[in-house]
Amino acid sequence: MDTAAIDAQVRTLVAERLRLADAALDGPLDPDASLPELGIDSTGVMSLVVGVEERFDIEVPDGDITTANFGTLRGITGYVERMLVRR
Amino acid sequence: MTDTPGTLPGLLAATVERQGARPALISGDRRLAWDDVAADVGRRAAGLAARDVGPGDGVALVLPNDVEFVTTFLAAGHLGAVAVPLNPLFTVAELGRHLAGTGARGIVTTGALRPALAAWAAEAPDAPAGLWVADVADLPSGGVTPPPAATADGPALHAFSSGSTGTPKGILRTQAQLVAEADQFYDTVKLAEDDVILSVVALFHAHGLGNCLLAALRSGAAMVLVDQFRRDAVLGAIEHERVSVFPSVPFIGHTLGETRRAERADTRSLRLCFTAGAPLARATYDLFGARFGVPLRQLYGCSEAGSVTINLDGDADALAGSVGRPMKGIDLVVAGEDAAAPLAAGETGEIAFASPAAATGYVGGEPDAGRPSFAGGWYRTGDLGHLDAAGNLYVTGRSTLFISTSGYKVDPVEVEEVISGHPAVAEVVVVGARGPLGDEVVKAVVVCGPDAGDPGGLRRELVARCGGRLAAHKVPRIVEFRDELPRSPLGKILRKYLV
Repeated sequence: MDTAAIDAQVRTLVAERLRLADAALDGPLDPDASLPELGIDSTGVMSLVVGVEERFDIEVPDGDITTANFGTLRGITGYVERMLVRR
Repeated sequence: MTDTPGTLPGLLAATVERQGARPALISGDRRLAWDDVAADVGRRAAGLAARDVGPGDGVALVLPNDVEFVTTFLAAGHLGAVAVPLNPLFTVAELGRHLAGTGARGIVTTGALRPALAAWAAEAPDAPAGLWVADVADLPSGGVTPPPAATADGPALHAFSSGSTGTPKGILRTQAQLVAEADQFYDTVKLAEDDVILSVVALFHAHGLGNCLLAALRSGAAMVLVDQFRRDAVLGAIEHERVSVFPSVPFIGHTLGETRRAERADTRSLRLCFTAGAPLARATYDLFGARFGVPLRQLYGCSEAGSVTINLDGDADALAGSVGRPMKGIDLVVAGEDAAAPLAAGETGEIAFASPAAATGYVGGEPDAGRPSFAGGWYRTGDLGHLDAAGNLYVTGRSTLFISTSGYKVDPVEVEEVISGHPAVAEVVVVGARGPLGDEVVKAVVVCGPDAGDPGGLRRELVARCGGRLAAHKVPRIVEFRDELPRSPLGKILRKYLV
């Protein structure tokens, strides 16, 4: 799976799990926008993590749930890419 | 020390006498037996007494779920002082707003939080005069343990109810009321000394304080303390400590139910899992049950009285939507407009109960003197519900959320049900917004699903949908779209931010 495909799937997850539909943001979600600043709290991040595990068939250990990995769209896409390579 | 019945030190002494060497608190690598807890509580009480804390004085606890919360809470109880547990994730301003009016003499907190709190205490005009702020690790812990100064009728806990009005209401509960809550849970749930309670829900909140801390103190069960919900930490604790009792909130139950690797953990020790704080969706119940082989049950409680009902029914699947029957010692009715006449089974009204664990009023009096919550030994919860023929309670809404508009009362839940039936709607909350004539206007705050499309078009569809199904005065005049709904740490929707 290439970066663009992962990005598209993560965007779908963000829309489904966090209900951050593109329309509500007046345009596509900026890949570097901080999710906490968009009002996503730790329960929202956890919901996203569970969705990422299911969608990409990977396991996200507690220790990987960091701001670097799950604080932005770009962070999530990069994390998923690394996990898929490792698998 | 056993000559203090009806008090927290009396409860601790009885448990220590019965089983002092058995495990009490487990937090990571730290393991304390009940004997160790009693010794720690004694030292901590000496430390607080050295800071001039005595009977009736407030001590704020701004602490995570850890050993120090438990021992500081019990040390305050030992001295007959009033514990004021507060959320360590609050901003300093929020903490200050809660502390004003509690008469707290000091704050016990962590090294990380102390500097900001100390700065607030020194500078804020509304900070109580002479308020000290101590890092729990620095509290003097030497000296002779003072004798217990608790009395059954003395205040022991200053809690807060978020209520529906937006202003936190202070609630004072006595030592005897907390002991009564511990007894009710113990007698109803039949906890035993070999039970192990996973304590991941916040101890500063009624759910954790009652169903973890007081439950362990009364039964001698062990508490496994986990400060934040992390799946591996929780699953590891269940497996390694053989957790048998797991109080949670629906969000935790749902997330664990969705976590596939949970199947690799040995969770066969779980015997009683229950949620509180928000309604439990059937989907969450099903997910959790399929994953863990134990039904996820519902408990109903409030800050005014602790736990009130729990669903322990043998037919968990059929009754999954019920919060169960009252704890032993609690009289519960569903009341109509005339509170003196309980409604029959199946009829919806306001849930009211009488309990020796309940507070008897709010600090500073009733917010609505014309319709007091506390009267004649009963507490009117403001929650709507009904009982089935067997006495199982179903909570269906909050009467105090009724919107007054056009001379009518509108039940927001009814409007929410119509709107949430639209396929593009993920979540909806209906509130009363201030109208131009001082009355309220029905307002729907909508979180859209992924394929909602154009908001303008959806707004028109939703209004049309309500118009076709509801009386005109119930149709929302304002439809606002949001990305998510503001929620409390327990998942309760904070309606005050939506009006």
